[in-house]
Amino acid sequence: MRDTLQLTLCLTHDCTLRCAYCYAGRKYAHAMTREVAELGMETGLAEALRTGRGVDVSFFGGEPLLEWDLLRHCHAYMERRAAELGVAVRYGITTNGTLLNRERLAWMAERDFLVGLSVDGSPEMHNVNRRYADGQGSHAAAAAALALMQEFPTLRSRVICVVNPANHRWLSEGVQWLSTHYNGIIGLNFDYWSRWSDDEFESLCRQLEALQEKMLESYRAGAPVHEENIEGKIWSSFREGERSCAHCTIGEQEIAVSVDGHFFPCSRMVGVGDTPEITFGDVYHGIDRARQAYYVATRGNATPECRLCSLRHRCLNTCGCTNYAGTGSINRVSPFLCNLEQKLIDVADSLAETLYQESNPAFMQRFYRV
Amino acid sequence: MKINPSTRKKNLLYPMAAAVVLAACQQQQRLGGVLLLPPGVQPGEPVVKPQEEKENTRPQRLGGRMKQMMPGVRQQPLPGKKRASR
Ligand code: SF4
Ligand code: SF4
Ligand code: SF4
Repeated sequence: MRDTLQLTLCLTHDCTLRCAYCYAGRKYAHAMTREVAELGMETGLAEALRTGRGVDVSFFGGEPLLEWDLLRHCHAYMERRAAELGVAVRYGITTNGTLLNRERLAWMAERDFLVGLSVDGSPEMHNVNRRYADGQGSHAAAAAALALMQEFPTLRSRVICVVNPANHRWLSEGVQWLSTHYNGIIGLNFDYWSRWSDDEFESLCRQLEALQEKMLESYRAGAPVHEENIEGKIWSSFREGERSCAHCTIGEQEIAVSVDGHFFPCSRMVGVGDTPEITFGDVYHGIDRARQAYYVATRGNATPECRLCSLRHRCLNTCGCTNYAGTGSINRVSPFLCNLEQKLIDVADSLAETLYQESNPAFMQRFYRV
Repeated sequence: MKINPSTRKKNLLYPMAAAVVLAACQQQQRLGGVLLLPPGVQPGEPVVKPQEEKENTRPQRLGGRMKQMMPGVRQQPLPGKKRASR
């Protein structure tokens, strides 16, 4: 169980990019006011105090670095208030890298930020979706940011690679590209909002198999590629007969504050004021307790089929935002999720079985500490 | 595509090792910090991950599929602000 409250501040809906899978920048190119940000932080602090937790503050957008002054203001405000109240705080940011520079990275590294950089793999894969308003691909900027990040060896970082129907055909090459330019953790972020056709899903499966081969080779070469979905599935097999996965904590340990001050139950559900049915209060009225209770009571997985499934403890079937994206309901899984989870588990198990049988040193070290 | 419960028997060719509490949360799947057991904990002993880190993903399009989710709960308008009408 996580012992922190995840407080996400969407500093702006504006963005330097116009990624095909994102609404940011199109209609609501405005920034959060200081007032909204401060009230949002106060809500997070009060909630953390009430529940005895620390706070993870995450700056999100749009592109949060467009609001660099606001970000620094929020950091200073939070540091001061958290110290007054005795609440532990950590910080993170998700950025597309276009506005990263050495000075900003140094500032964040000094403050122990976790920097999540969005790079969708190789140039071919990335530029399918991640473009500037004029249609130009943005891979060069992302690659430059990635290179810059490596100048800060102690910086906590990760790379996020979105996989959607339009770019998935480059998936294994894309991860290969990332692993040769970055040695941290790569997180594939599958697009559950899109409708994947059967053909697209089949070709995604072929890509995951190719990725499995690449990961196998990387372990054999002693320089393992770490992809968190697949590694997560290996870990998930390690708890016989028990839930391997913590349950979704939406409504309880997640508050995402939208630019205009609405509270959303998970940062992946933050909208632009167009989905009031999934908010639970706002900075001016506070947390709506009735709706919070609704989330807590409703979250989890209520899909009847899953009760019979032998993989239910290794499956992401309780993630509210993923379920919401696929079915409109936080506790119902979508067919895409079901099929993808089974594929990921197959890929992970066959990778792990091979490496275990080979007594691969890097594998044994990572998963068995021997 | 259909939801297809698996009947696969669990008979993995790699054994259970150190039990690790995992967060299923998509934003929490950062395993880097989970991999080493805390000092004094033996492999095989369940451990609770000490501190999770927040990961973000970019905001994505929200469709209008949520109609039924919270029947009867009303949205309060923010003072002085018109809600976006989309
Ligand atoms: S960089 Fe992020 S916020 Fe900007 S358009 Fe792309 S996905 Fe959206
Ligand atoms: S694999 Fe499919 S049926 Fe099994 S628990 Fe996951 S979503 Fe449910
Ligand atoms: S909805 Fe998913 S991503 Fe959000 S808190 Fe729950 S498990 Fe995590």
